[in-house]
Amino acid sequence: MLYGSQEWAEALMKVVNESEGYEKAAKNWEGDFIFETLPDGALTEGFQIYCDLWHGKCREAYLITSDKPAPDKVEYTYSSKYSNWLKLFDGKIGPLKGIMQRKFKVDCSAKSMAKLMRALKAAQELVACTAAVENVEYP
Amino acid sequence: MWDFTSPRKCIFGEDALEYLSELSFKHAFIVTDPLMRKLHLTAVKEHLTCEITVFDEIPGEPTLQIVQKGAELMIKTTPDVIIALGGGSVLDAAKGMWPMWANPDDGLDAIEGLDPFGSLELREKTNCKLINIPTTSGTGADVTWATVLTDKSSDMDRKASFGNRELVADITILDPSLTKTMPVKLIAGTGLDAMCHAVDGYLSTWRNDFSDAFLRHAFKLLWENLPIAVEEAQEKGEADSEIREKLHNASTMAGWGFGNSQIILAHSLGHSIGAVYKVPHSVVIGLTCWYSLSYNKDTEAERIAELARLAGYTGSSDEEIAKKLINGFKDLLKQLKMPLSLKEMDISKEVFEEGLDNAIEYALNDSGTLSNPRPLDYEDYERIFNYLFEGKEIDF
Repeated sequence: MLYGSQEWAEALMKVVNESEGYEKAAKNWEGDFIFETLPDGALTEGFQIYCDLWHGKCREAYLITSDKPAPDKVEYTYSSKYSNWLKLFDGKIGPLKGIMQRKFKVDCSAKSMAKLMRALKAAQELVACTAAVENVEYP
Repeated sequence: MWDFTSPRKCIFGEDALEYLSELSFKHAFIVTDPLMRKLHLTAVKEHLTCEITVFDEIPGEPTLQIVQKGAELMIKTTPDVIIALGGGSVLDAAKGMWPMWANPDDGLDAIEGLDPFGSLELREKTNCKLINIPTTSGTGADVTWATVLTDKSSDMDRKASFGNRELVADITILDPSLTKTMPVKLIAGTGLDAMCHAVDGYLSTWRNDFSDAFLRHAFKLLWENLPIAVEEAQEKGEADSEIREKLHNASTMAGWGFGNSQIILAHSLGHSIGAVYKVPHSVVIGLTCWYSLSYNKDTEAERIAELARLAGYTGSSDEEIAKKLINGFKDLLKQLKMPLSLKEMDISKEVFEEGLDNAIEYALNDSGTLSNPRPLDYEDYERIFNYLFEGKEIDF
């Protein structure tokens, strides 16, 4: 399946919901995300994936389109160019270090940012889930 | 991109406090604790010609509530300089008061909702500077940007951690005369904390050329001088002033380095043991540093060997030299009479087991876990904590 497709979003949701590591680490987490990949290199068109994460599970994940937009109020938008996302999946950048290096931008309120900083293990497990999605074709 | 945040100035050495006379302020707000007020406030006030407000209520473990009280007084007095005179608790409390003053309508949210990466405009909003005068050697909190306070608003104490690079002081003043009165146990405990900062920052996956430069020399100074300082304090009542100066400088250098790198396993363990089992940081951090070195020894043999060479160890391979340092570190803990297990810290087996799940959870979500060179998961922490309780050497 193509990275950034609806199929990929559904596969990610499945991996997250089957992950004991994520479930344990994120058992108290409440918050939804737009994961935004900006065009870069071989990726000529960016995309956004919506993910609703709730108490260790992913309640919903889909490719945002004009037919299926994101909800009105999404708590977090985590955004970077394609090459940085690949580095994140490869473990070359961490989710927190990526923010500190200004490679990843997080758009959220100050309070939400403080909440994110207290859920670092959950963030790490989520990245691990993303890297664990199988049979992905990367542009 | 990375950044390396520093105070505007670091004034150090004999008579460093006199630097205050070169500055001009309208109103100084001094944050301190009752003991530092008694021991050192006069020496500080001697060099100030402005109006002064003193807030001396900082307890051993600074709380959100006391910080809020201090902030309310800052709002009333509108100082143009905050002077934090004391150990880590005082320095951290001052860092909490400032954003609360800058955002008076936000209450505790000014800290709990503090954006770690955003622009706080602290100096613009308050027209104030921050000068840190540490009195221990030490937490390095005089030059770091992250801190932890305790929320005592409910039955269960909760830790509130926050940080932002704007909280790094404008000036840090390192006057070795202020550490003359440190008791032996505190010299040992805070010195080990500083040493652990150097080790953590040097091994962290967030290390960089700038932090390395500070941390290598900090480690060398601490390794050479801490045992001498403790011995002299035990035999003569105080360590030689040159030794104290080296330790004081090294502690700030270690803070400067790790504050721009990151903590690792030693501190994620130390923080969680402190939060869950209420063991003071200075009592446990030497032990958790030893465990961290042991756990990371294969992943970071080369780096640990570099520190070992600075400590004077030699050998035919990095692994051999690293092992010598790790053994030497344990000997140092024994020499400084530090406990070598959690059970030696008066934690019963029952209390340990009751708190274990919380301790693991706490440690897993500590930033030290993310930047530890060797990965850590729930089971790893469970094993490490159990070994820590017994004082058993890491063998995995």
